[in-house]
Amino acid sequence: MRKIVVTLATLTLLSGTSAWVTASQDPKVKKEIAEYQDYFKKRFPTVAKDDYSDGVNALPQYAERRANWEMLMEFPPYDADMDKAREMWKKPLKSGKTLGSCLTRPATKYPYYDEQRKEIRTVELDINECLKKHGEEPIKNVKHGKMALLIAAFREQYNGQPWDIDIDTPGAIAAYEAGKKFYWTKRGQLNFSCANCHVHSAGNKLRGDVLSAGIGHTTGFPVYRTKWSLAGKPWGTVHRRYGGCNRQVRAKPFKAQSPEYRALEFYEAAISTGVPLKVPSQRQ
Amino acid sequence: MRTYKTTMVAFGAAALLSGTAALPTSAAAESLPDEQQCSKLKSDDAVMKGWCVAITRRKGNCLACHGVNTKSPWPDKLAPGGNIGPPLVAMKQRFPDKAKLRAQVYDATNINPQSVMPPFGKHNLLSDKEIDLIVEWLYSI
Repeated sequence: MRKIVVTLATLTLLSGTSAWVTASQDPKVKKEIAEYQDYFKKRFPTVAKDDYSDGVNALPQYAERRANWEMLMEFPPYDADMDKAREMWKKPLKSGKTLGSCLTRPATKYPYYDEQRKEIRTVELDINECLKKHGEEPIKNVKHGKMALLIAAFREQYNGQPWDIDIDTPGAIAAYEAGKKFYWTKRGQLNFSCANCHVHSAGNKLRGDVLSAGIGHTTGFPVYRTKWSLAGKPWGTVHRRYGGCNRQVRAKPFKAQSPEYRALEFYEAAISTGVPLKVPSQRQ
Repeated sequence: MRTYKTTMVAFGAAALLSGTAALPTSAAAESLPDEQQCSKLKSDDAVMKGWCVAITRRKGNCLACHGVNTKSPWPDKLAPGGNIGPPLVAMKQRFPDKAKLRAQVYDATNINPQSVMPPFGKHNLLSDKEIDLIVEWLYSI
């Protein structure tokens, strides 16, 4: 009897509309993503999947400071820049076409593995390719400023839609594996892996700061960050953040759009499968 | 912290009961130096030097992950420690063998491969001398 109840309960969970399961049909990838997400379900039982779109603000350990963030969100500091970003996105290129004519793939499916070119493609790479194709200069700095704004204008159009990375072809599975290896490998003089802080210690206090949960990590990017705004460049891409993380553990950072960071971005998006996009976002 | 509070309450109760206004010596004690005061500290006291290595961010930075229960009052300008690692309390009781405590600071992954603690000796984050000082301080708390 008990077995039947458990089976029924499992079936209900699996067939539920909740997207805590992966889009990948590969059984190993599917199982790993489910395990990763289940870990956070158990660690933060009061946090719903959709809440992870808010990054560290979603965690109960951050509750005291969430009020500040909510107040800031009443008049988000990025609003004026976003108006500019939307204009830039719609502006016809030299050929008369817009960036939207090239980037037809949903933002929830970026990055993706291109089996013809044998590489991981990011929004950054596709924007620059589109600019070139339509007679414009590609953007040199792919970490902040104009590039970050264009990505924000592209990705916000898919707000509310869940991550749905394609991990079915052999190349995509290899990309996932490369990112996974990066994520779980200790690096730098301080000897931390991404997982050490954002899985094993998620929600714990690093002095006065709370470590964010790994699930949903790349969901709100590009971000408008208080720390970066002090240096006059508030906008940053995921790869800009990766560089900062690597420096903090005293490791030599990789370049933005390097194969290493593209693989990491691919993996982080994959393990966030089902978390809805919320772009842009403000972080401290 | 809880132990400290309990002690204070006990002292307070004792003072009230005995009818004297004498304060316990620990309440009158000077607070520990903060990070800035540590940078100018001139002391030969190994425990005090160890405290300074421990709290300085470019050195041990122990407070990033550990909470600490100190006997002397906590400096005003020093934020309390984090909670990634276990709180640093009763170290002498927890590590009766001093060499084991030193080995833990030198390379915690050698003892527990799953440990997230940076290997301070193995990765040259601290010198041998600095690790010795931290151990002296840990043994005092």
